[in-house]
Amino acid sequence: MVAGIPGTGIGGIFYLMSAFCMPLREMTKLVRGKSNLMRWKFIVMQLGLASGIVMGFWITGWILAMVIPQKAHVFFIITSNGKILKITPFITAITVLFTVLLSVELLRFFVPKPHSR
Amino acid sequence: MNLLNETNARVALKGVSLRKTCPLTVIIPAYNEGKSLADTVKSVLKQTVAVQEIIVVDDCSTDNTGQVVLDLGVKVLRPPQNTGSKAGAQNYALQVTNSELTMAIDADTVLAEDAIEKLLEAFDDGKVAAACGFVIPRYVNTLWERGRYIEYLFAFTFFKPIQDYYDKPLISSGCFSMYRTDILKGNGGWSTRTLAEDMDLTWSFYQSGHKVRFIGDAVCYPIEPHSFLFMRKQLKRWCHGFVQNVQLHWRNIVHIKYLRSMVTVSLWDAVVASFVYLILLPLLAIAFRNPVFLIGYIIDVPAVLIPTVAVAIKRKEILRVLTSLPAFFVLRTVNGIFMLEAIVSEWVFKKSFRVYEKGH
Repeated sequence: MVAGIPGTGIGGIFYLMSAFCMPLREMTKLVRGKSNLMRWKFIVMQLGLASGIVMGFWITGWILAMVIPQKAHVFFIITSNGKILKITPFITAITVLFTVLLSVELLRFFVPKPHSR
Repeated sequence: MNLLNETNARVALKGVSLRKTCPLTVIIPAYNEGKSLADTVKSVLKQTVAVQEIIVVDDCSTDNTGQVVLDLGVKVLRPPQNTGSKAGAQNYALQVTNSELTMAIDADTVLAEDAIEKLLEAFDDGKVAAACGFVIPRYVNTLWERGRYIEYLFAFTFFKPIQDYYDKPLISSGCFSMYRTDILKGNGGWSTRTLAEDMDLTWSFYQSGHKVRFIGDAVCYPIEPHSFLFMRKQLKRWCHGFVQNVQLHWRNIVHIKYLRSMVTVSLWDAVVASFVYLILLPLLAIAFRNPVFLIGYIIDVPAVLIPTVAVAIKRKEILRVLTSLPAFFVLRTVNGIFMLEAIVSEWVFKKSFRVYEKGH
């Protein structure tokens, strides 16, 4: 089960970012001798999926920007150029995601750590 | 540690030739599962490794659940009265389990022939308390089955492997999971305090410092709800279960790296994305008299399509994926409704839903 609505919201972007951070994490494991070829194969596969998703989003935005009349860009009337559907929602979602993640990182300083069971 | 003991090879179960035996007890909770239970047991018997014991818990069924497996050489337990939940039935069998590993499998789920062998690999790591596999609906015919098919392909191809990479699968799915018995018993078995006992157990394991793994090569095939009536029951249980688990565990999971981020993002999407999707988008479209807002419903088609098509190519199911895709968008709309209902009911009205209704 995926909590919430799969594919919508900031969850998708969270997992995309997680995928793109994998090589960085794996590099640290490599330095500590905890990496292997299988793990890199898996990372390349997930990166391929993540890149495909990003490209799919970009193409969708590009098509929508062409198909939808300029005057219909009611999301952001003040910047009625062809790039708005591709870029602005993405920046908004990233900002929301970082705010949410930062909030939970801060929250842990205010919640006492329980004893492990 | 190798859990497959060749020297201990024996004919463990009726009709099984000499194979490697693993110290594993398979628990199958069943309530009125007469139609599907035999297939489930047979799929365990046909595994590439033999298991120590199979226990079917006939939870006071009113059909022939207990009888259909009598000839298959499995132990059938029948509690004095209905335990009230899957967790209750599983705990009933756990009391008599003494093998090193325990597996729980739903009575409507069949396993790929090497599923147990693949899942066992996770336990080579002594810190692993639980492991789960890839779930694919057995039947993909109705709107609801098709929606679930896409949801699972997407989640188990993209989300779950990433969660596993960061050592934090969100849930060790209840329909097919394996556990280290001593850790499971130490945890008190499957708790009945929430409606999502699998999520509760997984998060409890993390809190006690244990690991949980997702093994994508271990595949199982459950029967998913075929009608809205059954889907409604399942979604209600899952959504309320998620909300109950967040309420129960949040003070602990806020200190667990990656899990806290995952749960927070899921919760955000459960609340905000559901609200935007179900209420805000149609309202904006009406208020501005502009249908462009409705694009929000399908703008993420590529995000869903890319991983599902990737796995469809591997499974040679491209046509099935493409024809099932619209059903996914129906399912997630319905999912959003139930998620909002669960949040409002549990947190706003403080009305906790505790009735375990079977979802298939």
